[in-house]
Amino acid sequence: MKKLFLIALSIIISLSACNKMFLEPSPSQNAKAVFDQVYQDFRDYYALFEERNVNWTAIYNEFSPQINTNSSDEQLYQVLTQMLARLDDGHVGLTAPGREVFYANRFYREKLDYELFKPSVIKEKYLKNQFMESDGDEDYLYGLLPNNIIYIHFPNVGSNWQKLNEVIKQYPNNQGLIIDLRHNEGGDFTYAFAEIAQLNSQTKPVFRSRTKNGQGANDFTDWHTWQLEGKGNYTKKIKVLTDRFTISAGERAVMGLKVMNNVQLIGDLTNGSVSTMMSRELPNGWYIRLATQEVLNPEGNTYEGIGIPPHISVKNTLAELNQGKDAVLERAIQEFN
Amino acid sequence: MFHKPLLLLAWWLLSEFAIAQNFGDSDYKNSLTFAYGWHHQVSQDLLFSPRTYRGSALPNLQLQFQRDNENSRHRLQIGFNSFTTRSQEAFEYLDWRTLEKKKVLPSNFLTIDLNYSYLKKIKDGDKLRLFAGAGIENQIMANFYEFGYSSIFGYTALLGFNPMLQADYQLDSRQNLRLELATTLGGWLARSPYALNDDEYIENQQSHRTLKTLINFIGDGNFQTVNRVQKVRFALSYFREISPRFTLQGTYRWDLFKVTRPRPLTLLQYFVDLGISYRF
Repeated sequence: MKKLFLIALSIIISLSACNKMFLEPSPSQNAKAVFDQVYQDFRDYYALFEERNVNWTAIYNEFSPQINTNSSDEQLYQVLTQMLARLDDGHVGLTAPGREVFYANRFYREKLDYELFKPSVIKEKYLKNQFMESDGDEDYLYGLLPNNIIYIHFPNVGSNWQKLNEVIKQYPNNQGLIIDLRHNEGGDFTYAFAEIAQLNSQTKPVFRSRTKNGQGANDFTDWHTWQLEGKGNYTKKIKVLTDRFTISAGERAVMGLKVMNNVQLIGDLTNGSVSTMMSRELPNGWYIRLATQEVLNPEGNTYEGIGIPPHISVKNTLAELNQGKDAVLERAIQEFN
Repeated sequence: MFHKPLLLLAWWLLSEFAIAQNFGDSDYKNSLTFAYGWHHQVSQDLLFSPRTYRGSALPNLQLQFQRDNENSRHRLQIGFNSFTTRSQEAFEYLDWRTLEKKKVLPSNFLTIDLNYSYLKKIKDGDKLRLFAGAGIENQIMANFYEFGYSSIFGYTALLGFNPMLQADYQLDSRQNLRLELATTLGGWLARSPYALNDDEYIENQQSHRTLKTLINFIGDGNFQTVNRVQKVRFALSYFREISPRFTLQGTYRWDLFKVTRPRPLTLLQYFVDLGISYRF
């Protein structure tokens, strides 16, 4: 009995102590190793060097001399953010302890024109404080504008989009629809496509995409075509508002709406980050985000780094906004006349 | 395409279970066991991170039905674990919009196991009984990595074929020990794609229904042999009969799970369970 117990105990102790035998060696956490890992991760996963006209190895060679094994976290953070900024991509970012989440895209990085969208102005001046809104995962804001025009704002793309058709049914005598996608931070575009399809009468291709599937520069999946199904027939005018902070799945929702003949885009170019993204952890525990897909519109062109152009280009000014005027929304209302 | 392996699996499980029911020729051949314990996981998934995640699963549950015939043994096991894991101490970062301080949340790994095994007695000594057989081990893992501003989902599912050995050693009239060894020779493996969110992945989950998404994910897997997927299980159990119908048991179990593609995954799980069996 005692012998058996000792054998069992020794097996248990041996198995419990043998983690390292099966795991990959712990990665080195010094600044040089982390810097190199960022280079490798982007080399292996990032899909858009060509679209964004970036020679990644040349950038690595340029910044590499600034980092060595003894560099501090602060030095590493500065060099990495400068290096990633060269991609100017809204999907590229870095999260590090005690620091603001870093975006490589210039509009996000510098918060350029970020203050040119104020939901409070819309609520007070245009919806006369008669609106519905919700927080959390179901973010939306909607109400009725003068002349029975429905206004709905989605700050992201998720199950909140199910509100779109509910609201249209709620106002059966509506004269049209304004879908405000300014400051839409993205999410899962399939929610948006499912709802837009209820307005659309004819199935149409929206975009095609392919994803990195290996470490080689040309390792991609086959192209996949995403279509907007035709499951409804909303023939009234639809105005879609965009700005430089309409990004990712928000942009894909714009692309989905854009294929409908009764849709007009009003506002500024979108961000120009239409890919999908992934995140990875670095050896030192910081996190990077990067884009892994190429996306082409039905004409075979990319919006990556460019943005989706509006049919009518309008930008708010801070002075007007502070006086309670949203010029983009006013232009959209005007288009119903 | 993807329904076929699932239908085959369901058919096999049901038919084997039916056979098990028909074998009975005396009372108290069946037992139902409920177990709970300390479950710990060490994982390293290079799809997400080169770092090692460690953590325990306070919410966990193991249920087992076993039928012992004169020369064979059937066993059906269901297990659930929710591991809370970290690769480092949580740090704070500043939200981009509000500059509000936020803390990195722990990552969560959910595992669901559904295993069936059939063992044949190959040696029947005074104190030692040996069984050999095989089983199918089905493990579904959903990983929710919390990377500060981003949450990333990943999955791994293995429907594996396992040869298995069991040795029962009678300590006295009321106590015995059981040693179990099992290894996977291959099976149907489904796993997150190389870049996590490719078009196939997005298409698979666009119904936003958990079961349909799960079936789609599993359906997108393929058969892998032992060179690409390895799973080894070692379990040592102690049983003490406390009445003709009830038995207490303590089990130490060690699982190793390794996958090589699209990037290597290594998972080590340690279970220390206390359980009670009811015989009927």
